[in-house]
Order: sequence, then structure tokens, then C-alpha cells
Amino acid sequence: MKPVESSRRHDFDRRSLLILGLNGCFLAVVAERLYQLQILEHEQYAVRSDENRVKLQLLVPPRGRIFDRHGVLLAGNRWHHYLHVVPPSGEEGRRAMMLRLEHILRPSATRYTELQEIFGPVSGSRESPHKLVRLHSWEDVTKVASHSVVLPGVSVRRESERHYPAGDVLAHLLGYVSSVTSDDISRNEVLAHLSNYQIGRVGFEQSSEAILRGKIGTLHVEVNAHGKSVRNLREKKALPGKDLRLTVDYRLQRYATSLLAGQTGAAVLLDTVNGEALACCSSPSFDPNLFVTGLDHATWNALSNSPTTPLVDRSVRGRYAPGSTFKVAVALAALEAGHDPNHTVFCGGVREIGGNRFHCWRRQGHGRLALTEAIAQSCDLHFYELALNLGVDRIAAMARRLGLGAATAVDESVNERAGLVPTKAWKKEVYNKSWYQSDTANVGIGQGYMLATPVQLALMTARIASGRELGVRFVQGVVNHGVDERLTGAAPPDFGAARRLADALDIEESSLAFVRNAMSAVVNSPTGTARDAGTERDDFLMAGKTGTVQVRRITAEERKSGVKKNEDLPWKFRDHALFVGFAPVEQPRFAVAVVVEHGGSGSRVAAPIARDLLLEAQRLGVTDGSEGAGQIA
Amino acid sequence: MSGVDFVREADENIPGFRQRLQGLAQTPPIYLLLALLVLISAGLAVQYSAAGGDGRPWFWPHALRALAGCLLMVAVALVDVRFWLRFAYVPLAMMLALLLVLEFVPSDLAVDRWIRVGSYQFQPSEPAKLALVMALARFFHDRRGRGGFLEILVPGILIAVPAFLVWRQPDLGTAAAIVAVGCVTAFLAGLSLRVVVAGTVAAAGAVPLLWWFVLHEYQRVRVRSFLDPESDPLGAGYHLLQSKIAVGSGGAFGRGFLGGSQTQLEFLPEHHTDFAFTVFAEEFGFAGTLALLAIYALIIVWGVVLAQFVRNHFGRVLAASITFIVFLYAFINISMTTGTLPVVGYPLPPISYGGTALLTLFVCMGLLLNVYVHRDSVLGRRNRTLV
Repeated sequence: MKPVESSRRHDFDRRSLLILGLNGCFLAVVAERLYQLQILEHEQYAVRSDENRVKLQLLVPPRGRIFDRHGVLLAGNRWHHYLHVVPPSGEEGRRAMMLRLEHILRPSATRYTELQEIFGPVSGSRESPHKLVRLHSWEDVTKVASHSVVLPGVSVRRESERHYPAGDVLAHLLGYVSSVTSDDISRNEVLAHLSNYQIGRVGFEQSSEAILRGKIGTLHVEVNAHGKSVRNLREKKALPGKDLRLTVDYRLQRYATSLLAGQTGAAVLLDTVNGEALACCSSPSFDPNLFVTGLDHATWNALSNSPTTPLVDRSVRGRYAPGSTFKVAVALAALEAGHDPNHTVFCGGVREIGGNRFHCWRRQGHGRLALTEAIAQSCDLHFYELALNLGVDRIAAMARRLGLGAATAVDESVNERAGLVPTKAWKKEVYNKSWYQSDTANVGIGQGYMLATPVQLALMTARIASGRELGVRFVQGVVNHGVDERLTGAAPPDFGAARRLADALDIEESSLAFVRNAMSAVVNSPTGTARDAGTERDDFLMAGKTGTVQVRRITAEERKSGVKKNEDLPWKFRDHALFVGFAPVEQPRFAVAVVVEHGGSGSRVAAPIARDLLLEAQRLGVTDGSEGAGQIA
Repeated sequence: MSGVDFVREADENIPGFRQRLQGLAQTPPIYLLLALLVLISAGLAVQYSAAGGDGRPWFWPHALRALAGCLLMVAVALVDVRFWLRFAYVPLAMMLALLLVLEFVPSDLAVDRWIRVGSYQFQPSEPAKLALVMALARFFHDRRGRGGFLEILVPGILIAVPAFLVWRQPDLGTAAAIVAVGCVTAFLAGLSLRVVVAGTVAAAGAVPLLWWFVLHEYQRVRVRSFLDPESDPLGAGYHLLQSKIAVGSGGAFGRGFLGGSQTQLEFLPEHHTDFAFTVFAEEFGFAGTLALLAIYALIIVWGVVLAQFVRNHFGRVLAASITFIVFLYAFINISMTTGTLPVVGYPLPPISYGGTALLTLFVCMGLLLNVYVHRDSVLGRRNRTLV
């Protein structure tokens, strides 16, 4: 061995073993690191791995639908498709993604002009991508789906949206749904986790929220890094909401809406056999579909600030002085108190009560009238006399027996107002004042403190017509989606229970017959106030009572110079026009109440609406809808 | 004996081709070959799993390349060692030429490490490490190792030029690896101890300068995200975090072949290339990773032990330096995926998908076998010729 070679080899052996040792040390460090990650910190990383891949999804079942009595869909669900994006990080990536999206959607680019503006500021993560824009056509949906490879982070998601085919025809009764607010979340914390959930606001959507919502399910999904679900791990099934079947007949409701078109008021049509509301209409109305997609400020302001308050459901929440329509109740109270219906009262147009002059609507007076004619001609002086003889408390008792002053609905499914039936005790309590005779006189003609909602007036009429202690029913039944009933929580209200025939009213049948007869005279006698609203068809004869309610005080000076005609007054000072009625006169089947605010004369404005509605109801007849589902054309 | 330096020494004990073939066939280095077989199997399993349990797109190309690599390895092993010695500078010259092409040919991407011919890609920085080892081994084989000026300058240039070109790509990880491989080779080959000490001190002093003047901003971001990966879990630290989650969730025995959710659900970035180890770690656990590490260690130890018995300096240095290349693959890649080193984009052949690194590894193994076959050959010095 040469010395150079041997010394070099010696060096090499030492150095190579040194390097080997160092390598060994480094690899030991690597092994230690792996031990740390895979053994010591394994739990922590296993959890994070699961957090990566397992996502909890809440399954919102389809909301229950609402049908009319014949199965016409009034509130349903429609699917819409939305483009969701996880925005790429960095300006360049965003721009590239946006350009690609625009390129793909280009043929319909005019509908997506906002894309560029809205894409700029959006943020979103793998967990919750940003909802960018609604895809307007199925074609766009397929285009985006087929380009998914070049659109990482872009997904199309389906969302159910509430839809009201009936539009403004049933807006008040149905109500609407709208997005969950922080108030809702403070009441029910679960709502915070439901993206895009819409909650019932008014009407049945609100009162039957629990029935319609169903039971929310949960789904644990395994997702991949792109947020795409790979498989379902475990699922707790959602239970679909149940469908509601209303008592309303869509055709009658639509017809009532058309009769009230252009007016401010309400019309309620009841079935006098079982109290089912066949039509319950408030005018003006609004399109509940607007609330689903979200209202812009201008539309909302227009709706909420309009002097005609289209958002208010006048049919169950509008409180009106019933005016002369209340005379039937006073007459019944008098008859039940033993009043002789043949007793006549002289009407000279005016009399003094408690120091005030009380006028009859007819300035020259009616002369001497018995009760039937007093109702037919709606003589005010006659009813001042009856009221003063009866006293307010006996009138109030009768009013309550006829359904005034309390909620009418048996199923509490409607958010109605109770109206007001004043008594001496009530005035003492509320105003701390004594009851005066003039108060009684005013109540006698349905004015003063007396207040009733249209549905109450309809119920009053239905009770008189049927002689039974009816309640109003809006819901025929809850229809199961055909799914398990166990998990819906609280038992649904027993809508079917009220199918039993209502008890008889605690009123003599002879008194009722007398009043029914007098109401027939209102329409069918040549002297009746609503004689012009009668029908020629003998088999469809209607009975009723008009009401024309002052909304302003007529001063003594004006009386001297001549009371102004409604046509000469500004709209808001014109009289309210009211009419309650039932038909057919023999064997009544339908009861109706119509209120037209500032409509003028009850006989000229409200009575024809009531007549047309009753005729239509009789023409269509009442069926239970077993003939199958219809659809709104 | 003073004239010995200038005498062209004779070669002794060079086996003929038949003897080389017999040497390899009759006394095969069974541990090395078994270790390689296990590594290739692990690589194929990872490629199959990374595709979600599918032969395409990675498993079959990987298998074909491994097969080609094995043939290449045997071929390299059977070539006369004097051929490798004689042409030891050629591979480095070729790699430098290719790196220069990359440097001066404009590319669309900011990072370009690949030469593309048709559908084939070639990454010259990978074999550059091996080429450098060969060149340095040859250089020191011819020199006496007494620390003359040339013995500093020439290795310095041989190391600096490829490292610089690779850094320009920019690929800091590979550039650093080239420097490390070059320095270790020079050290093993007999660089004067004074130079070694001086160089170590200088290198330590250069780190701050490197940080401020050499590193690109994105590289600094990577280093920072490596130091604090949780600070930006969806940004620069995302890859590392997902990688650590995968390794950690593997636990002691792994989640089973094809059972790693981080892999199968694509939370892992580059899971078939630079982060392929993570796939293995997730699905085979600490038992698997420790075994893998042991097999790399086996190859290293085998090579260094072999080097002790080799009778020519070229082969000695080659064998020991090649084990260092293997060590670097394992150390850098695993440290990077487990968060002890910054993410630098360094593969782990034969686990990682990628032809150049795979073939480089097989050529390394081929040269190792070549040294094994020629371990008893004595090679003379050829200090007058550079090529």
C-alpha cells in the first residue's frame, strides 16, 4: 500500500463513519418526530382529521303545503338553483374564475351583468361557500355543472322556495314566510344553523308553523377537500311538514276578491251548517311571494305606509262599528226580553235622549212602524227606543251570544281581534265614567263603543240563520305527507272535532224566525233598504241587513243646511258600507258579511257584493273536495 | 518514491464482464436488493392509494418506470468501472448544459425545473447531485488530498455552478441539497481538514446573508409558515397542516391501506409526489414509517460499510456519497412533510411519483452495485487528464 493511498483511506474511513453517525442522528431525529406526531399527538390529529372530513348538515324537510277545500294548491314549494363559490385567494385567481364564469354563462350574460360587481367583495370558505347568484334556467345549471372541472370551488345548490300560486287572492289568510331574523333566533336557537330557512310570518304560515315545518333531521357527511360530499355517515331522517287543507273555496275567494277590487274592505262567507269559512277576503291585498324573495325598501315602504294598509287583514282584524247590521241583535234581545213585535214606535226623524238630539238616518222620519218594518227600513228611532227599554247589558249579552266580542275561530288558527261589546261595567273600568242613556241609544244602532270584525258579523248572521252556536272554522284538516306521524311533536289541533253539529243557540226559535223573516223583508220587501240588491230568482232569495256607518260627526249647523252627500265628501270622511246576509231564505246555507270602508251606502255598495257572493256560492254548492285536486290556472 | 505522483499508475484486479456478471449473480448484495424491493412496493402502494385505489393515473407509469429503473440499475452495475471513472465529468457537463438551457430558455411558469420533450419531462437538477458526486470523486481520486489551492478552487466551482443554476430556477431545496452533497463528497474524498473547518465557519456566518439577499420572498413566506403553520391555516401553512394531520392521524398502525381520509378525500396537497410519504404515514402508521426509515437506514449503512472495503478511492467516495444522497432524500422529504423543515419541494424516491428522481435513485443504486462488483479493483490516478 502506498502511503498516500493508506493515509487517504484512513481519513476516508474515519470521515465516512462520522458522516454515517451524523446521518444516523438526523434520521433518529426524524424518527423521534414521527413518534411525536403519530403516537404522542395522535389523538389531536385524529380529531382534526375528522373535523376535516365530517360535516354536520341539518336536513330541512319540505314545508307542508296548504290547499283549499278542493285540493287547489295555495302555498307550495319551488326549487331554485343558486351558484355558490369558494372564492379563490388572490386577485388574479378571482379574476380568472370570474372570467370563466362569465364565459360559461355568456349567452345569457345580460341576466348576470351584476356578476362582476358582486364577485369582487365576496368571501367564503370551504365550509360555507358564498351564494353568488341565482341561475335562471336549467340550461345554465347544466352548463355550470358540465364545466365543474375548470371551476374549482364552484357548486350549484338547490334551494326550496315558498310559492303562493294564489298570489294576492289569499295573502292575508295564508300569510307568508320570510328569512329568519335575529329575533327568531333568540326564540329558537336551532334556527341559526339553518341556512336559508324561512319562517312563517302571519296567517296560517305563522299559526301552523309547527305543523308545516315538520321535523328537522341531521346528516353527518364525509366531504373531500373541495367541500364535496363523498358519502353519508349517519342520518337522522327529516320528517316532512304536514299539509293543511283549508275550508276556503279558492273559486269563491277569488270571486270575493274580484268583487272587492278597488275597494277597501272585507268580505267573509261562512257555511251556516258547520261554520266553515268559504271565503275570507280583505282588500286591498298584496302578493305574499314578494316577501319570500325579500322585499326592497321601496316596496316595503309602499306596503307598510299606504293609507289603505294592505298588510292588515281586515276580515279578522278590522274593527268596525257594525251600525244598523247590529239592529238584528238588538231586535233579538228585545224579543227574548218579551217585547211585543207588533208594538209600534213613532219616528219623526229626531228625538231627544239625555239632553242630546238623536236623529234617524231618514230626516223626515218613518212614521209609525212595527218591528219588522223597523228592521226592513232600518229605523233608528225605533231602535233607540228598544235599546233604552232593554238597557245596554241585555243587548251586550245577546251580542255575545251571537258571537260578537270574542274570537270566532274554533281552532285558534287565525290571529283575530275580539271587537268590543260595551257594558256599563266596561265603561266604568276603562273610562271610569258612568254609562249614559245616550251611550245605550248609540249601541242600539250599532254605533258608539260597539265594534265588530267582519268575521264576527258573518258569524252573528250564521248563528241567526242556523239557530246554532256555530264557531268559525278555517282548517278542514291536517293531511299527512304519508309519513310516520310519531315524531311531529305536539299533537296537531283536533280540527276534525268541530265536525259535530253545533249546539242550538239559547234563543227561542220563534224569535230567530221573526228576525230572519224581517231580514228577508230588508231585501225582498218593496220597502226594504236593500230592495234593489234582491235577486229575481225565487230559489236563491237572500235575507240580510244593511248598515251605513258614519265615520264623522254631523254638526247641528250641517243638519240645518242639509247633510252632505257621501259623494261630496273626501273619501276618508265617507260612510262605511256594511251588509250582512244569508241565503237561501228558506233553509239558509250561507252567511255573509261585507264591509266596504268609506263605500257610502250599505244598500247600494255592500249589499250587491254580498248578493253576488251568495249567488256564486249557491251556484257552486258546497262540496268537500273529494273530487280531487284542482290547480290554479 | 518521490516521483510516484507523476507516474501513470497501472490498474489492477479489474474483473472482466463475465466475472462482473458472476459477481453480481452468485453473491448478490441481497439486503440492498430486498430493501429496494420493499421501497418500490411501498411506492407502488402509495401511488395506488393516492389515486383513490386505482391503477391510473399513477400506479402503472410508476411501475413501468421502476421496472425500467431496475434494468438501468443492473446495466450501470455491470459496466466496467474504468468507463465510469474515465467519463466521470461527462454527466455533470451534460447537466450543466441542460441547466443553462433552462436558465436561458424563456418559460411561461415562474418556476421551471423541467426540460420538456414531447410529453416527457426531465428535471436536470435531480441527476445533477449524482453527476456532481461522480465529478468530485474523480477529481479527488486523481489528487492527493493535501489541500493545495486547486483542491479548494476546483471542487468549489464544481459545487457552486450547478447550485447557482438550480437556485436560479428557483429551487432552493435542491440547490441546498447540491451544496450539501458536494461538501460531504469533498469531505469524504479527503479535503484538507483546515479547509473543512474554515468552510464550516464561513457557512454558519452566511446564513443571515442568505436570508436577506438570496431567498426570494415566497421562500421566506414558506420558511415563516413553517415556523408558525397555524397562523394561516388556509394559506401558506395549509399544505403543512394537512400533511401533519395526515401523518398524526395515522397513529401507531395506520388507518389501513386505502383507508386514509386525508389521502382519499384529497386534503393532502401533492399527495402522489412530494407528499407521498404522508399517504404512507396515514395509512400504515408509525409502524410503517419506522420500517420505511429503517430500510433507508439499511441502504445507507450497507453503502458505507461497503465503502470501507473498496480498494479504489473513486468507488469508496462514490459509495459513501451515494448513501448521502439517499439519506438526503429521506431526511429532507420526511422532515418537510412532518414540519421540521420548510416545505421545499423535495421528492422521496421511490415512494414519490416522478420519473427523474426515480431514475436518479436507480442509477445511484446501479453505481453502488458497480462499486460492489469492483470493490477489489485498484485504479490508478489519471491526474493529467480532466476528461
